Amino acid sequence: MSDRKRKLKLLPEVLPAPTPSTRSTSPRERTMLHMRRLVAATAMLGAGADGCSKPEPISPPPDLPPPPNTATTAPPTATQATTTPPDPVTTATPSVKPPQPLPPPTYAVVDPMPPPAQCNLGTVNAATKWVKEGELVDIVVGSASPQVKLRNPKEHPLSVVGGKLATSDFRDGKVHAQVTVDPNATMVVLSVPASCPGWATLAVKLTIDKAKGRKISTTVDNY
Amino acid sequence: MPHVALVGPEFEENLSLRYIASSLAADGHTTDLVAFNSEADFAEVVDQVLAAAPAVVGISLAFQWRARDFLSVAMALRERGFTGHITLGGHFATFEAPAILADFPEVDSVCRQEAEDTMRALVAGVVSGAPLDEIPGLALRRGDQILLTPHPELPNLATLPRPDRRGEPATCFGHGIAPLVSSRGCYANCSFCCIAAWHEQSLPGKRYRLREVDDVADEMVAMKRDRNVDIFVFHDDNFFVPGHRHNKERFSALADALEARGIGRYATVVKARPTDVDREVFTILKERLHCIRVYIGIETDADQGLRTLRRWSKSRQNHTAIDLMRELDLYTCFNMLVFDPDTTVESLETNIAFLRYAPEFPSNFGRVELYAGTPLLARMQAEKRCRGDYMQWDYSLGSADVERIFTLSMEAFHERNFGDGALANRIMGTRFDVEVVRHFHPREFRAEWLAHGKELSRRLTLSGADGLSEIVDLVKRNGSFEEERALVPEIAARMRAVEVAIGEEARALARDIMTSVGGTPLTDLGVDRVMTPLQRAKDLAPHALSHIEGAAE
Ligand code: B12
Ligand code: SF4
Repeated sequence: MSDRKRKLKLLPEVLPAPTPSTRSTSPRERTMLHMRRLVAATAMLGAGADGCSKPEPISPPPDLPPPPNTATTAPPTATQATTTPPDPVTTATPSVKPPQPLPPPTYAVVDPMPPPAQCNLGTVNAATKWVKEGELVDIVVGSASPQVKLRNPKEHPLSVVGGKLATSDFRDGKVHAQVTVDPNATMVVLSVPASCPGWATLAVKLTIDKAKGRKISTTVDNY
Repeated sequence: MPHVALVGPEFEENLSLRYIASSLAADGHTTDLVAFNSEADFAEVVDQVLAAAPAVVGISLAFQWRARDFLSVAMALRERGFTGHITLGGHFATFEAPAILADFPEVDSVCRQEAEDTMRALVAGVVSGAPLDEIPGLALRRGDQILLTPHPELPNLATLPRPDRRGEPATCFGHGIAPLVSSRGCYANCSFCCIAAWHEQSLPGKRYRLREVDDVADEMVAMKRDRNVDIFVFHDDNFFVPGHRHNKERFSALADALEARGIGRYATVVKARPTDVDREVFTILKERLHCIRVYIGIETDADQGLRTLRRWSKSRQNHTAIDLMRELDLYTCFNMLVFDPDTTVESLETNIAFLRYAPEFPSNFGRVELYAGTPLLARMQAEKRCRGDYMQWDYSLGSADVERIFTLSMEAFHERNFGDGALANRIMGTRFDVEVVRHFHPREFRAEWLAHGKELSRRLTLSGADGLSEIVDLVKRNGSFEEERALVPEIAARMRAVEVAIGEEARALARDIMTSVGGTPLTDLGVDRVMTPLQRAKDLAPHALSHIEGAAE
């Protein structure tokens, strides 16, 4: 017993103390969105490249099942309260080309520098309104900064968690989208590709407060 | 015997995974190395792992920047019903193990620190069903707690199986290239560096350990004999030890050992700190170890920057390093962290002046990033200056003026410095091509190629320094938003035009060399020759090959 205690002693390793997040999405939510986007992007590539199907390709699944071997002990989240697994996912229909390739598959005996983690989200705004309350929501995303440029969804498709993309458009540098919200969803996340100036994907998160007549509050994050 | 899938980037032979693979092989385990380099690989990576039905999947999270890519693999595997054990390793995973395990139930464990031994024990434990809690070096989820088992013993570099070298090596003009390490860690302790932070935890105060030169020589000779490798890229964080005398002795001993083994013609590529530069040491490096490129970590030339980054070096040493490289005619490249949390306009100007001081050497510039585990991140957290979360911290620079310069310069330079195919990086490949030919093909080599290579770097660097200076001047005179909008897009357009011109000349130069020498260069002629076969099979499909203009083979 005493031996076991000694073994569990932590020396000399000091791991960083958790620092509160300043973001409106959790690492898990952003990674989930990212994974959805990768799935969509590679599905597109597969379709365009040779037209033959790979064995059992990953398709955007309807929901994220808890991992089989950890399902019973859901851990606390390290960052913030948003632990609810995202609602069912749908991805915009593959249209033209996948989002940015990251990073370029090259090396050439260089010592590359990391790009700055930079996206001035303070300059991005998102306006939302119900077209049909509880069912169809209209989202307009714009940027007031010359450094943060939103991308045309025709070339860089949007994806949605918690609903289905009904329409998307690009006018005056703004992204316009209408999303059919899943029944009972309290959260919808629209991911919008942008460059600021490096590639980024913005997460426009709508929280629907059913107690307050489905009032929507909106935050913008990047991932 | 159980099978293990190891997932990581494979831009070249990935030593992190290949060391682990050979350690697992020593226990009789088989492994797949699954390369995940770009988003296009994603579905294939997941398919490949599932098809292998491994007992354990090991995912490398050395690169914080790619954390979400690799965590996405874990998520996708679970969605597809994978029930085996998923473990992570590498710098980022080690430092952020508790947070990752808390946020990602898909992941079962994290192997902290250097993990050859930990991984062997983990695979044995998973297969036998024995409790994992007794294995040093793990982070595990236990109910709602995260258990960190004791710090692992460092693997013994003398007995560690050498990295798994499956596949053909990459080549440059027909010369095989392979990475290797002759040491682990670095004696310095820069505030922003996760390597220093990492090794400080396992070897406090010393932070590095060395392999015996005979062992390194044996590995090199074996690679030359068995795989035809004659360009050895040392990925030691720092190829040098403290003290010029020690370096002289060590490098001479390595050269002796290689000669004694009759290695024949070869070249090396290494990394150094400016403080390591010494005429005698570098003469040995060039003449006896046939070094054809030394990366010198300049990072900053401003006194303020040197303090903030805790570089333990002086501006004078940066200049001496460049002067000596010029004198020895040794190819050097470097990066500069011109933006750091305390940067002033004055320190920026000092760094721009340094870029002008060494323009013929390929270089790049950017901002210091906040990596998990580093003292700089801890400082910024204590000062409450971090934005974001543990996956990627962002921050504002110390002064509003410098922040404005940073934002505007990224608008103008992001593509050159960090974009897909960033020319600031690729120009290093061009110069490398020239140096390979200079070293291995003296008869075909033409002095004007070298002069041209230097000239291309000079033009690229000076155009960048000019553009940066214009942005600094605009901010210094408090230029209006209208002025800014007129100037910055114009600078960006000018930079793109310079890049197009230089890029074309670089490709023409590479074609010219290729015609005379044969083989293929590293310079981007459509395909990266340093990719290993794990990548190449896909990228050398007929449609990709057709991009190689004038390819000789
Ligand atoms: C070689 C190298 C590269 C190569 C990549 C080689 C490849 N894998 O294909 C190139 C030049 C392409 C490269 C690119 C970049 N690099 Co780099 N690179 C290195 C370097 C110099 C050596 C890595 C190495 O081989 N080490 C030797 C092996 C044996 O040690 P190791 O990697 O630590 O592995 C051990 C443990 O970490 C652990 N481990 C690692 N992976 C795994 C996985 C599992 C499953 C387990 C159990 C354990 C485990 O066990 C291993 C064995 O003991 C390191 C510095 C360093 N010392 O690590 C930087 C380093 C890893 N790179 C770094 C960076 C920033 C980058 C870039 C992001 C820069 C950029 N923006 O372009 C890119 C990103 C590339 C990508 N992944 O997409 C940083 C990472 C910082 C961070 N915390 O994120 C490092 C630490 C350098 C630094 N101090 O800044 N890089
Ligand atoms: S000299 Fe380089 S490797 Fe060594 S601690 Fe500093 S940044 Fe890290």
